[in-house]
Amino acid sequence: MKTKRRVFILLLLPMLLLICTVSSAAEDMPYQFHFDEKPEEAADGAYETYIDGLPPEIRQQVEDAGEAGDAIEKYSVSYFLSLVKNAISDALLPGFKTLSVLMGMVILASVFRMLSKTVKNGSLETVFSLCCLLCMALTLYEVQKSVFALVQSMLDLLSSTMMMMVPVMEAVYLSSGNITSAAVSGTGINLMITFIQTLYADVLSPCVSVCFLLSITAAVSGNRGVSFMAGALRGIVTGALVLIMTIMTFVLSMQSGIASAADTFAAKTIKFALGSYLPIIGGTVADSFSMVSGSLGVIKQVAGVTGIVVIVIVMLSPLASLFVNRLALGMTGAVAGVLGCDREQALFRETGSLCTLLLAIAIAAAVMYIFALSLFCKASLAYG
Amino acid sequence: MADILRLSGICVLGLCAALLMREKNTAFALLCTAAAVIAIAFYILEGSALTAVQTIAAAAKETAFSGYVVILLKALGIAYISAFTAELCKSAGEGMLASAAVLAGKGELILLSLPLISRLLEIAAELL
Repeated sequence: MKTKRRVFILLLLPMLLLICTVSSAAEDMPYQFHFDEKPEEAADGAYETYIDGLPPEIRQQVEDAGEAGDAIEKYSVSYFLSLVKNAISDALLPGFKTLSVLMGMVILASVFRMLSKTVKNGSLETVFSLCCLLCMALTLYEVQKSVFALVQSMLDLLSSTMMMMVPVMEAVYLSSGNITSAAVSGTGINLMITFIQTLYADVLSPCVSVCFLLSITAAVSGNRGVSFMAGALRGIVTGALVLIMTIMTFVLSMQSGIASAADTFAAKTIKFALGSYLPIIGGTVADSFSMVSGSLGVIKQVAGVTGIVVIVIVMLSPLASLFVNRLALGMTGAVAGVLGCDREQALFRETGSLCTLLLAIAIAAAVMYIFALSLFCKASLAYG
Repeated sequence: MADILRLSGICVLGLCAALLMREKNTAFALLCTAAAVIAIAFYILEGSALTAVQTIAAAAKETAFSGYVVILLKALGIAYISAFTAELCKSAGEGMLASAAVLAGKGELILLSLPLISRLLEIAAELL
């Protein structure tokens, strides 16, 4: 009797532990399947949650197309051109202000440089030039420090919108029988987001800061070796960025292709089994999967295209600001060269190169996310 | 126009005094020259130089450069005064004093640049 009681307790405890573990894991799952819920309704619900979670200014611009025909009409070339036009027009006024500030700096620098040449003492002129360059460098930092923060905020917003997209992708994949694709895409995209955030915070941002400090040192000291070091560091960062993008796109596309093939094979096997072994209604049940897949395909395309449009909206405004800022620095450098301020010209040229590097980093992150969403749009559904 | 006439008049007076004194006492001639030069320098500082400084400061007031214009104008003043003193000492035949004047000017300029260098180091610490 006692032995039976002990055996019963020993069997009951692991079962209780298993139930607790499964229930806590279920709370963490972004998507849960309900037996009474239609697959397309579940996927649509996840898509609605994604739209509601977007920031208000982005949600206003994204036109939620309920049907495929509306999406094709609304997300046309003219729509994207209007987005670009709005982003550039919003960035132009702050860009002109930056340009006027930089031009003012260059004119004052040239005035002080001309005045210093009248001192007629070489050593005093050199020390005064050093003082002038330090003032220019500090003013340039005050004008440009918002640019560093702009890229950081853009990457944060891109990552958060992409994280919100992951449950939608998992819901669509799971509802359509792409179980392997759901697991692979969710994990892959989460890994990509974390990697990009960590890469920028721990590697790219310090590299950009070091390049900026090296460019100031090169301008103040007039040492070409330091300028060469800054250029070499920028080249290394750009090369590493290209390599990382290439590897990540290869891994994502390979994972998506293999998972999709595995899911399609599994679904076809199930459909064949249903059609062959279920009497009378087997063929009808197998055909109903194709019908469900059709509606899920619409939701997949709409969700994927909306996700890409959101990423384009998020990235356009900061990219336009960076581009206009880059133009302003280039023009100011040219004017500094004409006015005879060679070291100031070098400072503006190096800062402009840094701006180009920040542009490259921002575009690389956005392109990676757009590529991941394009794979999602392109992926074939298992039941289709 | 009136200012340049006054300055020219002071120069001519100083020249005449120096030529007269040179025959009797060379040291007094040098003193007359130095007095004329100092008078011209003070006249310029209180007149056109002050106006120029105020104009540049007003022009830079609305720019991002406004905080640093004061430092640069002080540095320019230090450079001019040191160079002027050095030239005066050289023309009196005192090369050592001229070098000392230049050295003092360079020291003052570096002291003036120290807050800028410390701000640059703070920025480096923030960025890294």
